Amino acid sequence: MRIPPLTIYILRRVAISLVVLVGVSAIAFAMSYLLPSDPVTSRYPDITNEQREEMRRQMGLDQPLVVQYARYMESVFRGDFGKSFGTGNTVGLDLAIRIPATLELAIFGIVFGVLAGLPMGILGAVYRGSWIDHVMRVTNLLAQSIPAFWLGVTLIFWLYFQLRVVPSPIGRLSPMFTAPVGNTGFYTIDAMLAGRWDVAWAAFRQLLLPAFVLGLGVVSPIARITRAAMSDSLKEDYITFGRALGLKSRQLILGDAFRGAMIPIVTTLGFIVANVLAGAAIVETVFAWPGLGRYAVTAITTSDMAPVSTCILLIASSVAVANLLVDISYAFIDPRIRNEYAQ
Amino acid sequence: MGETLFALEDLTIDSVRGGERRRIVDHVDFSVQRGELYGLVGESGSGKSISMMASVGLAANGLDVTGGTVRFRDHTRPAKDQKALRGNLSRGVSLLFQNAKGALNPFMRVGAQVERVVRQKRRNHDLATEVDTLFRVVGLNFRDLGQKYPHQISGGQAQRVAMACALATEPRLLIADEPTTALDVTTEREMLRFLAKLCAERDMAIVLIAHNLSLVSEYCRSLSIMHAGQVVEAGDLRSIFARPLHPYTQGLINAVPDVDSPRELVPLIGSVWGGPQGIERCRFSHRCPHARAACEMGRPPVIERENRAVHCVLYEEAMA
Amino acid sequence: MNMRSEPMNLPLPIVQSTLRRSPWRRIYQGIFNGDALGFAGAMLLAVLLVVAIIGPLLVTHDPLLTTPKTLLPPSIEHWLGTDHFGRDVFSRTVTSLRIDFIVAGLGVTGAIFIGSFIGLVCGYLGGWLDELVMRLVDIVQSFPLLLIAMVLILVMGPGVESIVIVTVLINIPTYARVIRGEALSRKTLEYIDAARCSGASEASILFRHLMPNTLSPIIVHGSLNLAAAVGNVAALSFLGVGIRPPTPDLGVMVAEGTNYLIQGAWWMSIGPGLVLAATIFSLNLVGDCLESRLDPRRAEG
Repeated sequence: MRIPPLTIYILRRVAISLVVLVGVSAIAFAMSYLLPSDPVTSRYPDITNEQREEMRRQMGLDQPLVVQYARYMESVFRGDFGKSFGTGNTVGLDLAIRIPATLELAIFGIVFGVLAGLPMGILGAVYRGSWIDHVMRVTNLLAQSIPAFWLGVTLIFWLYFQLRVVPSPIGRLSPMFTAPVGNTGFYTIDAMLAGRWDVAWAAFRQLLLPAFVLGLGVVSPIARITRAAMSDSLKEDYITFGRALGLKSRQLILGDAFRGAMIPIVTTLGFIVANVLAGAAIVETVFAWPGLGRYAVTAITTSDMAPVSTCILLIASSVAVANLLVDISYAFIDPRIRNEYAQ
Repeated sequence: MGETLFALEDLTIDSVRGGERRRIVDHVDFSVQRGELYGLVGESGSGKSISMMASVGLAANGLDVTGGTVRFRDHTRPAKDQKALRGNLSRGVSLLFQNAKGALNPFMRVGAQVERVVRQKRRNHDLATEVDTLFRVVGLNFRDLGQKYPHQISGGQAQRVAMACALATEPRLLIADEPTTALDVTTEREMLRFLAKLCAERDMAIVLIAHNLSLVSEYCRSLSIMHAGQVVEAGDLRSIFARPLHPYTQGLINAVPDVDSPRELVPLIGSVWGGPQGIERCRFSHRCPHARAACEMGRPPVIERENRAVHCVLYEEAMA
Repeated sequence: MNMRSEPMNLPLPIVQSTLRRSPWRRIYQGIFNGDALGFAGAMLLAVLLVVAIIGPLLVTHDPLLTTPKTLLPPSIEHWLGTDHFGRDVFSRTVTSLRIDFIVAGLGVTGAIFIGSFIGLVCGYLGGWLDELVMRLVDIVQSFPLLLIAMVLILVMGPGVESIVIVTVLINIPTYARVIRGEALSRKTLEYIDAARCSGASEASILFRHLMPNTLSPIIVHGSLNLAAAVGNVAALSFLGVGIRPPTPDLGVMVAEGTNYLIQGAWWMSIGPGLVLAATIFSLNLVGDCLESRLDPRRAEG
């Protein structure tokens, strides 16, 4: 049987990523081990020294770092990722409800950011040096410059407290509704699948502000790279030749030139994943969004070891996955790269 | 035939970069007859490509077309109006580039690239047959190449695909900008013979831009010679070769080795853009063995006789 | 026969003279290349820097003094109102700006020195060291840096020093990578060969010939990075691990303001937030302007 070359390429990349991630897990665990306050003391401030030692023994906190790391890795392969002292659940269980919340927020945010950033970048490149270019440039620099936490707070104040045009910023769904049960964990989609359009609409409205604030951080990098890459590809001979053949400008810009600019754009999109997931920590804190980011922040400030290492490991893994997807997408964008992978 | 198809008159282009303005095309004019294979010859950087690109409305960024007119068929348009000139591209002007591989979209199969130009013409013909015919005209087989990407075919094949695209617009005038420079010598001959054949068969005029005078001399009947943004001499090829008038033309012809009657080769000294800048002058004066004060006092006069024109003060007294 | 001669024309000026303009005009043209936006950004940044530097002269009240006049809206006495401890928001904002500039500036400067050194050495020497360091940089850049920064600050113990050190640490990879690329692309250039032929030592080639030429990417990344660092310091403070109250910091002020929004005390967060946004915006504008000015590939057009 012949394995397709792209598959071999992917398998090799996955193997390398796994090795890197083991390294990441070690660093992440060591960091969480170094966190200062004692999880036992912070949870039960009033216990005696003997009780505390007893509890530490039960939790395995008296073991050397290497043993604790080995135990943690064992739990990673078991799939429960250790136990959170804060929630009392396994981290796996905690994350199962928080990951969809963050994913839903992140996807809406990225989609908004890309939908806003791409046209801005394309307009900037096509009307390079004109007032349109300058307006786009200032807009995306502004989007990049407004701190997410302040913007979130300010928007909540004006749009909720003052104007009442958005629902109260208390997480994924107003308490008037019961959360939809479904397979995706995305409230909007689960509710639609269950035929509850009112719930889907409520969940969507709840998403609007946080997704906007999170997505604003995506606008600027996408717009910048699009402008730069489109400027380059618009200078290519095949665009001039297309014009010489009398092909429509719209087709040449949005079809031919954009295709040529896609590789750097997709690469940037890969980098953005890490930014968005880190940015989610802030946006989720501001909007009381019960997701991964807020979970990580709480775990860090309460020295909850297993969740801290797991969150770091998880985000690093998603960055690795994003980069792999980016590399694979190259093959679909550019037939020349498809050739290279095949060799 | 003697019917003028395309004419440039007093085309003037400045390059503007960082507040610096340089005249890079200086009052260029020449005309091309219907169905003629016309040569436009000059060293690299003499402004030949720039003039032709501007004449079809594709002047690059940073270039400022300051004057002149372009005539195509029965319309004369100011060269400043680049947008209107681009209209000519769908009225029978087409282009071929030096770098054929770069001129083809690297992300599209070559068959599809030809097909979309055909479709652009909005005719209800059978697309597939038409594309197939075009491939056959340029000497390629659609079934072998149609599904390939530009990086999978050779430079010569790419130039032929580009030609199929150009022919799909049914041009009356094809501007071929050094279409053979990227090809090897045998393919080059083949390509030029093919262009000459097309020219004869299809009532299509071709402007062949080249830096190689001897190459052009084999295929063209008339030509213009450019130097540093100015036309120095133009007219019937045989007469020019028999008696080159402009010192630059003489220099070019003397620099061409001749196997039949070996003689000492005289290289041209100096660079195209040397000499005093920013004044109106003959831009060959700094390299010219016959230079005199009058050369740097205004652009050289145009002396026309029969089917020749030379831009040089040397003949002013002689002819007057 | 036909003759045509043109009248002699006046010489065509090649370079537009910049000599007879006012000095301001020359700075505007020369440094900013007529880029009005970059110029505006630089002016805004200059104003903010001056405010930060002469801050102690500008404050109208002691930024740390608690008074019974809590949660007062903006007035002549308190330009931006007072906070929940009765402290003057304007005075605290001005003081914060100073502190945030110092923290972010020190952090980025430290990262520039250490990161550039690593990048220069790796790019110039190459080999296994380069390979190892760059893989490490890859790993570090796949971490969620904001969370790592939180962890590191808690590990080191909260305080201004920790924030500076963390800012240095998380920015090192950027410079290591950028400067390595520059060193790599330049070490094969002729002028380096020329220096080597004239007997310059390796260290001298590295620091006298290579380093000065990596200056423009450092300047560009430095200003963009400073913008990000100011934002990150504030974000860390907002999350409760950055600069600790009562020391004034823009992030802390916004965070505190959040708790009193419900009571309508919008003035507690609006001023500090606007100043923060203006600071980051001006740095981004300047960085963007420098980027198109110093990168010739992007400059034309």
